[in-house]
Amino acid sequence: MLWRLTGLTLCLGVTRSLEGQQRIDLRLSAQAIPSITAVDPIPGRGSLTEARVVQPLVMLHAGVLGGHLRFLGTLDLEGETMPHGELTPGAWGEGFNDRRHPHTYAHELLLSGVDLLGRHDGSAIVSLTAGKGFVPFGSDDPMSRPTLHYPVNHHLAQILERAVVQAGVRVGPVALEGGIFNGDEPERPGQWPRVTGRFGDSWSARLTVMPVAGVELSASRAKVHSPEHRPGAGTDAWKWHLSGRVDRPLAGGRLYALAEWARTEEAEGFFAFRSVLAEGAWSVGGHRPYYRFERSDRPEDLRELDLFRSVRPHLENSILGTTRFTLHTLGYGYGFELARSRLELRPFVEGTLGRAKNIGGGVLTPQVLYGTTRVRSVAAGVRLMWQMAGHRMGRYGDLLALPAGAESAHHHH
Amino acid sequence: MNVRHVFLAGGIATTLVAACGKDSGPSDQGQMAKQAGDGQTAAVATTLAPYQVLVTDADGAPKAGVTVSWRVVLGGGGIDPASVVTGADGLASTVATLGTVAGTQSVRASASGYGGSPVSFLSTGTAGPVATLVKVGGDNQRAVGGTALPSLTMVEAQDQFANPVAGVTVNWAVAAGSGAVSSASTVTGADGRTAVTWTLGAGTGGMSLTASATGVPSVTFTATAAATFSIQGGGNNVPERYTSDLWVADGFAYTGSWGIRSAQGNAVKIWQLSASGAPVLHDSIITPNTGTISDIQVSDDGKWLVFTSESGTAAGLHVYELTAPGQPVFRAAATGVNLHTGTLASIGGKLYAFTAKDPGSCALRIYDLSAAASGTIALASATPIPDNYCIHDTFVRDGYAFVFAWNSGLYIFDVGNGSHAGSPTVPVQISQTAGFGGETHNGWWYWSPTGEKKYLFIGEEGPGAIGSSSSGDIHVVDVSDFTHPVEVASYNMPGAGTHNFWVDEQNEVLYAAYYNGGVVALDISGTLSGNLASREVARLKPGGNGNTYVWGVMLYGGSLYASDMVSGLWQLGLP
Repeated sequence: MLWRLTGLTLCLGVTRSLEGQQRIDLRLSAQAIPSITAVDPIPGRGSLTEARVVQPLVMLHAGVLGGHLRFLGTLDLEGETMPHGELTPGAWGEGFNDRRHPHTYAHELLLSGVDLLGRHDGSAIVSLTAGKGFVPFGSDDPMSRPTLHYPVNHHLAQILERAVVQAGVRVGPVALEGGIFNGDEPERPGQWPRVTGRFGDSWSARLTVMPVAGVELSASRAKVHSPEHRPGAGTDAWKWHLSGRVDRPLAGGRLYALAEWARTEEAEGFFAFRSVLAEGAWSVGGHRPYYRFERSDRPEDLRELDLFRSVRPHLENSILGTTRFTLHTLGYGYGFELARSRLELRPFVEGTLGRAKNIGGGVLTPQVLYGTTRVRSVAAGVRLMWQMAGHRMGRYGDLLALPAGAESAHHHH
Repeated sequence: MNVRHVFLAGGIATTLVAACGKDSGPSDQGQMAKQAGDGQTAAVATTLAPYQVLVTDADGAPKAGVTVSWRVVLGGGGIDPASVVTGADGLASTVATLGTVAGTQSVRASASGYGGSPVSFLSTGTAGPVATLVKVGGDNQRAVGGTALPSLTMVEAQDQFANPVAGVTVNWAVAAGSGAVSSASTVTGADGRTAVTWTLGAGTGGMSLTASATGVPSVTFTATAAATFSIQGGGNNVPERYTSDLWVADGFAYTGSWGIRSAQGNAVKIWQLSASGAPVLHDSIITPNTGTISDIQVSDDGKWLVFTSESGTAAGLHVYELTAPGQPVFRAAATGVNLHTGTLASIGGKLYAFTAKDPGSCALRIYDLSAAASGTIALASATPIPDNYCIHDTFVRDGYAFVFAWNSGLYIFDVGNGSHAGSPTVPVQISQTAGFGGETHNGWWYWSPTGEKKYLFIGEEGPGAIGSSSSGDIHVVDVSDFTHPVEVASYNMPGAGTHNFWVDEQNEVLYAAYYNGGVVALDISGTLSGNLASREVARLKPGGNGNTYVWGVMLYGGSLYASDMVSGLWQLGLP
């Protein structure tokens, strides 16, 4: 029914502007980050250094009907380049711990109807998006943000790789999005969302206000049914997220900044995990220094013999404790543009320092797991990006595009 | 402040000044002033000495014929008369009676048009003599015999109008039981209250304490002295691993291990029991390539030690022959399958292990161990259980297997009883019933000394942070009709959740591991219904607060053995 409505609305809104707009806009982009990371400590104590190609993506943006109908496909090859995850302090989710999990191959596969009502709704923008990708909740995926290593709060501040249908409307500086999706998280890179029996069991909504160009304030709410147990018998998660984001010119360069707060409750509030994060980057010339602070809670699950992995699905509704990571990440990159600015090479180095501490008891404390509460890591690598500028993972339907004439770092057609 | 506010304030001030001047300033008609009776203090409800005013004319001479009105404005009570005409001496009097509430009484006299009017008389009502003692705290408490009650035992002395009476001597005396109080005699304070700490006498049962004061009836407090477990041996004896399940047989105890501490949970600890029953570490079995020894049992004939394991390539069922008590010799294993629990039972003369495959491809897997001595374990059957958070534990008795399957609830199979033609190779499902808290984890089918087989105790395992918090109740289910189990009673321990059980059927006591709540004993005699809180016999946290997370319990040789995830194996004396 929703699909029929989408088609009907598309016809209604864009029929009058079809003439002369049959051209198909295509853009192929790609990225990969060869990197080396050293982390101290790791589970079981000691340190470890690994080299990986992380975040290897191939993306296809396509648009027809004057950009009113858009396709986005993101092929993520982490299942091939880092099947056992990426060393990342505090990372967790999808059965990985202290390693960031590989994403599914079909990372984004979405069809969007943009400005469906055309001039019928005046200056409003109504969009409808369906497919597999991020649900309207929280902040942009860390892959499209400055730091190499994902923050601990990835699964508190984003909901990704779900079969989702979402609608959005923007009126003036206010955009409202809502979506329904399947609650189950993927368990391996080749796995598809469990649409049968799970699609529609979870929902999210996000309100975004853009008071001035380059500034966004957003609030999100979501209920995710049984994310950790794919058949659907697990506990539900209730999620909240607030953020402020800045992306605008400053002092001859460009300033990016994000501050966010997130909270997830599980088992009817028996568990609560919180996060605050602030990060910023200033790009001037080819230089790009950046910094991130976060204080985020991580549930500790029963580990397998490979201490980087946890038993999935959980055996019970229990956790082994909660670890609060307080981390400072500082980095610097320098960009070289080649091939008429379509190819960018950005060597970088970044380091993380911080602490991990147990809160609220439990048996799996940092002392047990790592033998210390101190957290350190250093990484270096090169971002290789082909026509990657502008994509913000998790924002669909072009609701945040600025009015014509206003500067935008993310508007793309 | 703006101009508007200035004018408003000025107007209010002018009005107030004018009003005050009219009532209390000099008057052409004369003046009224208090003459006698002000500032009295007496017990509540007492009739006071008269209040008296003097009315004078403009020249200061007494003025007759002036009507003075009296009324009580604060504190209750009454005045009589309420209106009095001054005599030739210019005096007017009334008699006030204090109210029944201790405190200030205010009576106002007024004569219209006379300066100084109205005038107020203030008197104080104090509590009367003590008329009763009232219990205000500490009644009906519960504590272990020989220990102090958690709250103070407190009375309030009151007069006949329930005003608190200070300075009353209260005498405290133990009426039943052999306890003691912190002071045999105390005096009430300004709030009329006094309290003592009541330490119960040794022993168990109801105890009482009386509070008395001269001339008033005494009051009696009651308390229940509970029994408790005593720590007899063991404890804090596995610092390098988290301890999981236990079994005790033939003078030895066997404990599993779980997860990772400073060492992996791949050990079975073998404890020799001393003459007093205290566990002394004797030996260990280390199973490489596994992460948790999740369940452990010795066969009824004492010949076989069997345990299940999770994680790693060695996850599965491990079978050891006990060539002598405490001396296991490996015979066989079925590995590559994650087994959460296992239960041994003999059916038709053969020994079987009823195991719970969890997680993934959840199933009740029944292994035939009859050829284990020759190194063979045969899978007799594998019955899928819906992946509704899988299968967690089993209880097998009389040819029936009770399967505890989380959100899918309770399954009952005929696995050899014959009532439904079931066998270990072809289990026949008799019923499946969801409920019981929704997180159905473990159970025990109880056969009472009278032969009644009515109750199945089910453990619910709710959310928890292992090592510090837990939740979940004990549910009592009437299984008189296997096809229609019905919950009839439950037990809740606030702030903690249950895990594994052991039942002393002869003495009708259920012992339950309660994670951070320690261990608890419940009286399960007779008919069980409703809330079983009153059935609690005793409880104990063996390792104390912050060092207790009990996984399992087992009765052996007159002691209760408890495996505590954080503090190891304990030997407890029974309540």
